[in-house]
Amino acid sequence: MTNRKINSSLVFLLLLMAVITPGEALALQVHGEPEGLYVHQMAHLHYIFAIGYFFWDIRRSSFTGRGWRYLQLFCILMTCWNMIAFVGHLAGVYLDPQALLQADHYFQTRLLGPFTLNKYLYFITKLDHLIYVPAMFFLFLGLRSFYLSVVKTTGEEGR
Amino acid sequence: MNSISMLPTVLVDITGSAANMLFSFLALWYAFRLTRLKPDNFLWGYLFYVTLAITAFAISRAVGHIAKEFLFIVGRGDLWRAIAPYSGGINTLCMISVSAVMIFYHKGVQAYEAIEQEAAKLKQSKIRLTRAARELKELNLNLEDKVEERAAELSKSEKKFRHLFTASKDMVFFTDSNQAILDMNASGSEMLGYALPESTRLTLRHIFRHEGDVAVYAKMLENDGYIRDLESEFKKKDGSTIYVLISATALYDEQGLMIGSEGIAKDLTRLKTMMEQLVSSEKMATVGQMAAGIAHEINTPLGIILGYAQLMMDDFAKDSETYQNLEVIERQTQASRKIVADLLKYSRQSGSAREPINLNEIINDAVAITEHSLNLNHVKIGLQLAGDLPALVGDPEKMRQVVVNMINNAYHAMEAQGGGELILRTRYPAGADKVIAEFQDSGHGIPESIKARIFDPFFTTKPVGKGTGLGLSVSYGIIREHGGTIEIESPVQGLGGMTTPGTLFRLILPVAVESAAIKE
Repeated sequence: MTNRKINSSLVFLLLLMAVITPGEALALQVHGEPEGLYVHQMAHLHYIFAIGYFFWDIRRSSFTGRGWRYLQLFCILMTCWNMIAFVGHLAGVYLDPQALLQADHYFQTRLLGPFTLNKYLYFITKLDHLIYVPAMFFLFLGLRSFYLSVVKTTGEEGR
Repeated sequence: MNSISMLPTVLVDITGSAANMLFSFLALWYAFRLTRLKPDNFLWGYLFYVTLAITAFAISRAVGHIAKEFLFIVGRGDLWRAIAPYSGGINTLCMISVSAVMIFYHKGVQAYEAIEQEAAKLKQSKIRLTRAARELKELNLNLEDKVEERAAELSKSEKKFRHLFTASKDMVFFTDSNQAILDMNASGSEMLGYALPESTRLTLRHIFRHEGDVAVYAKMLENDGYIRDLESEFKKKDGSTIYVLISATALYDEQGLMIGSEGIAKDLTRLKTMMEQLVSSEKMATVGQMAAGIAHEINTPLGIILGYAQLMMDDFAKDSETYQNLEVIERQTQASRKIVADLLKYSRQSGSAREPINLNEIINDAVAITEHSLNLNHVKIGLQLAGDLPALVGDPEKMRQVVVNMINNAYHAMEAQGGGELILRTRYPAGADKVIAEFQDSGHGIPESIKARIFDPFFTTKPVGKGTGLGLSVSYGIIREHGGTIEIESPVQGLGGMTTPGTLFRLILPVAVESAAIKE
């Protein structure tokens, strides 16, 4: 029997033992409930980093024109929204579920006192669309400006 | 305040989500249009994907929020709690996607900028290549035309200068650095009496009369590079001299070394002769005035001497010695009176008639008188009289005297050689109000040195006692009185530059208006 054949047989036996008697192999990690929230919060931080980098690169590239200014405003507002959302999620985690009382209808839901910083933050960050919508509006304006300027340039070249 | 209504947050959530969807769709629409307008533009392509990710996130989020609010409103919060993890997971995924796309932006832009630069370079190269190709194509297309056009221009220019060279009435010549003539125009050859092929075997030493003038010509060209109005004399093939005015320019090679010259020579012989004649006529006018004064003073005492001599002759016998002496006095006085009369004629002091003259008739009369003696002396007369000669106005007797003088002069010129031929010619050149009479003999000719003096009073080459030297001067005076001129050719210029030995007197007389009227 050659050495090569002996090595192949040993590897096969080890694999067989692992399959038949797994024991506490811990091959798959179990993800607990808070992990989703953590991933989401990290995604917000990642978003802040990415959009900050995007903003910095627009300025570094010295792009001029109205479209690029709108895009910078979008970046600023979107960064603010991400921070608000990040804080809002934390406030939601720390909010006592008993602090929200739904009477007859959902519309009559109320945030009960006594009011703490966390409760105020929870309430205010629930209004995050007041930042998010203007951010999307400036994104729309930016792209519209790019489009119009390209149409104008193309028309001039055409003439 | 014990509680706050959450209704505002619900309303903001619902309307904000709807607004987000609207703006994200609009933004995506414009991003899409940009990529359609400029499909090759990386930046717009990149923005489209960023917007697409943002829109996906916004839609995912808005749909989740609206669904949540709707389910809570309809009292199905339990259902929302079941789907909330999926909605949150999708939102997280979208958010990470947006972040990832944005981070790729930097490297993308760098690549895009590099590509743009290369593309710009390529574009410029392509423009240059296209332009070069177009120029090359045009050049190829037009090359033949341009060559033809240039050849035609050159041919035209060559013709123009060739015509200037050949048609010039002045001599145009080219020499090398050794003064050898490389080329000469036909006028130059004719001026020098050479056939055209012969002229290119000449050097300047052959054609300049004086050797020193060649050195002057070469020196001036060497020093100044040009010659302006150099007066010199050329030697013709037959040895005669022509007076010329030379202008020339030195020719140089690319190194600036003189390789020859190009020159123009203008024949001034005729002008010089005319100038000499003008000087002569001025001189003769002065002599004429003097002669007139002398003749007038001498005429009276001569008349008295003659009268007294004739009176005294009556007092002596014819065979006496005194009578014979008186006859000598009378004869010599008569001769003196004739000289005085001739002088007066020369100075136009004697009266003259003005009547129509037929020059042919006068010549025929003169020939009739002299023909006999001319024939005896072996002089053959040839008459070539023009039939359409207009009448002149003047004194026929004086004109007859001129013609007889001319015939006598011709006879004397041929006397030494024992005869010859005398041709009398009249003509009336068309368009010129002049009548020309020519007297051409085949005698010994007039030397160049005395040509300018032959019209001087008392100038004669005849032996003493044979001529008074007044014949030609009197003839000159009469012709001038009739408004004409006398020209001399000796030797006689023939056609094609050939010369004939002998002399030709040419009388040029104007046809006056009244003469033309008389003719009619």
